[in-house]
Amino acid sequence: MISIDILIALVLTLFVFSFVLWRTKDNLMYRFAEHTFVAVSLGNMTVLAIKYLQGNVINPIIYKGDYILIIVLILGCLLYLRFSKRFFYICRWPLSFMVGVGLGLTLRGWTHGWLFSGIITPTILSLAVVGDAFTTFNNIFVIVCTLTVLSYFIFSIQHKGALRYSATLGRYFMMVMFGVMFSNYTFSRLATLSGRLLWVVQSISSIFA
Amino acid sequence: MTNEKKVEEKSGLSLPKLDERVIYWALVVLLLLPFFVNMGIPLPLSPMTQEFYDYVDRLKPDSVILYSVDFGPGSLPEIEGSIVAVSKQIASKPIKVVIISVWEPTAAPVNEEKIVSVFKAAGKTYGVDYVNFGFLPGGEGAVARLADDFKGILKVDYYGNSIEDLPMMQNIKDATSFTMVIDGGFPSWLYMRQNWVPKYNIPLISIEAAGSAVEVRSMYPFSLKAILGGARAGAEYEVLIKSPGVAKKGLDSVTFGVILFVGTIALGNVIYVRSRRKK
Amino acid sequence: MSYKRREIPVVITAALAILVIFEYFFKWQDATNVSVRAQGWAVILASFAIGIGVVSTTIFHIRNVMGRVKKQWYLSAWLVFLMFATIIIGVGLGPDSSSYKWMYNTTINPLNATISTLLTFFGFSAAYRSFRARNIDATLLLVTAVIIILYVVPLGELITPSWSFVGNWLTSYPNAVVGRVLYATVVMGSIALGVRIILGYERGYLAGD
Repeated sequence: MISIDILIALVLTLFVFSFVLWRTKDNLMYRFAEHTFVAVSLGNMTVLAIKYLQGNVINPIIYKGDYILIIVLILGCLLYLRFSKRFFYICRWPLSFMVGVGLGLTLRGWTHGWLFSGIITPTILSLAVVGDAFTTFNNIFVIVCTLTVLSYFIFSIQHKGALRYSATLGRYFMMVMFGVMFSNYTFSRLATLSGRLLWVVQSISSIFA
Repeated sequence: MTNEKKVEEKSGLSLPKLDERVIYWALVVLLLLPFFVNMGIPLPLSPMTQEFYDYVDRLKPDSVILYSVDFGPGSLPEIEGSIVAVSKQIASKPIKVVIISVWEPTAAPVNEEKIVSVFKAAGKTYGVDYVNFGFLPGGEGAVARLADDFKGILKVDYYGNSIEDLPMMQNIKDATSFTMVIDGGFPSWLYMRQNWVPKYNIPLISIEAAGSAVEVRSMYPFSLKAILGGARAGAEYEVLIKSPGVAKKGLDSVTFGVILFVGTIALGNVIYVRSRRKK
Repeated sequence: MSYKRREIPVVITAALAILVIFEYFFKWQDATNVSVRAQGWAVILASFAIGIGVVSTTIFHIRNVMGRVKKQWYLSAWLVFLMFATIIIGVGLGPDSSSYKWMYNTTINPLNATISTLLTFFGFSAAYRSFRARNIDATLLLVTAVIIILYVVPLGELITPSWSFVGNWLTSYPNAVVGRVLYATVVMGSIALGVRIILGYERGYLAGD
């Protein structure tokens, strides 16, 4: 018995794979799958947003008498004035509300959470650990690596002399980091692809079983 | 035509003019092979996976943890092993769990399918042992508000029940009500790290895809106490909890893909180096 | 009345950012209450903002349909139809309904997973054609990538047991330290940008006239 939802999912998956495994270029099947994905994704996000507004704005206003939420309801509607040529400037008010709150959260979180515990604290290390040459080497490496990479980002003076060597060494350390990141991202993508291919094979075999 | 290509052509050592589809189909075949043939590639345990396991294992009875998982269907092949194995370990302990997603809207159904099903199978009672709040929109602002005033921002759970009707939520006020945060997905760990860790000093451990795991490694062990990264960590975790799953076969499959990847890079560079020497 | 267009949004942004930062570092209950409510309202406004995407997408694709853009208009019609069908089913029947879940599992799940795997194929094609050890930087990147990818899958440990030691060291030291420094530069740049936004020098976040 062919399951219709598996069949539709399989067809859409094969449409996407047609971009690489068959036509190797943009084609109608791939674009159909792409448009389907965009439509349902956007629709799904809208549904979640509407449900959230219903639970956190509409219901409290109607059932709990939290009338102050009418202000945010009006602010939210003002966002849609961006489609009006005459009253476009009004949409900036709720937009700046969101930006202001987001900016405050980012600045306070990054200042408190990153500048000290994220960067300075991990670099305060002993330059010599008695009896443990490996840890000593690692600690010195951390400090040298931190300073050389930071020196690479000094753009206000020309990279000459000692700064040039330091910045070059910092760049080499960054290449090592990019190599680590690149290989791990490749691994991630291979894992995703293998899972997807297995699903395709299982779906095809379930249709013909 | 670049100078290098001219040299390669003159020396007769240029790359074969290969249709890309040959490589793509070779990749497809190699990735599928381990699912049909038992490869038996050995899997040593890494210290980071053991550390993550120990963090969960040390949780005291009646601890409350925030399990914030943000993996959509796209990440599932890589990360399913990890989240199911960690969920099984959590479900085997007498601790209370609040499940939520704060970044990826498509994560809520995935959590329902992969995490909630594990708790149900373990005989846990909804509302008493675990609660699922689905997706919380709002990004970092919502996570910050969650830390300061949990019930102020969450009124209903994923199924429409009022938060006041859930017994285990009676004593939950803010971040201080939680013993630990287990976060899954990037950048939700960033939101947790910036809003829950510095202000409330809540231990944070993270499940990540392999690519994100190396990015968050810079925060280990300062603000991130343990990281479970990628399909390999998931396979190791399945061995640790003695519950084999999908991750080991998936890892074998990726191993074959890696062989092709290294092979293509090596082939291209050997030809390049030889053509340079000829020049 | 040009101040409505520029100055009011800038003042709103600055006031809210300062309030949210102030409340984090100083204990003043009234400020905390206002800040917490502002953060909640920002979340609600973000939900309203999703609708702007829906409206923009609809306008764009309706224009394609009305203009009968070749090879596109029927896909645009399909997109608009499917998007609104998703929203109507989701809002009318609820995201927990079997119809909505069927639509979700048949389209978003497989397409989300499959589209993200396309990059894997392109990565392999790039590995074959253009990943060359042309200079020290590229050599470092390639060698590190090969070492790490063989460390992440257990192949390296089959070659030699020391592989895991090298892979672990590369991930824990150069990668972690450089990552920390890069985050530091991003954090410092973001703090500088944030201060400029608060002071009103940066107004790019206000949509243009």
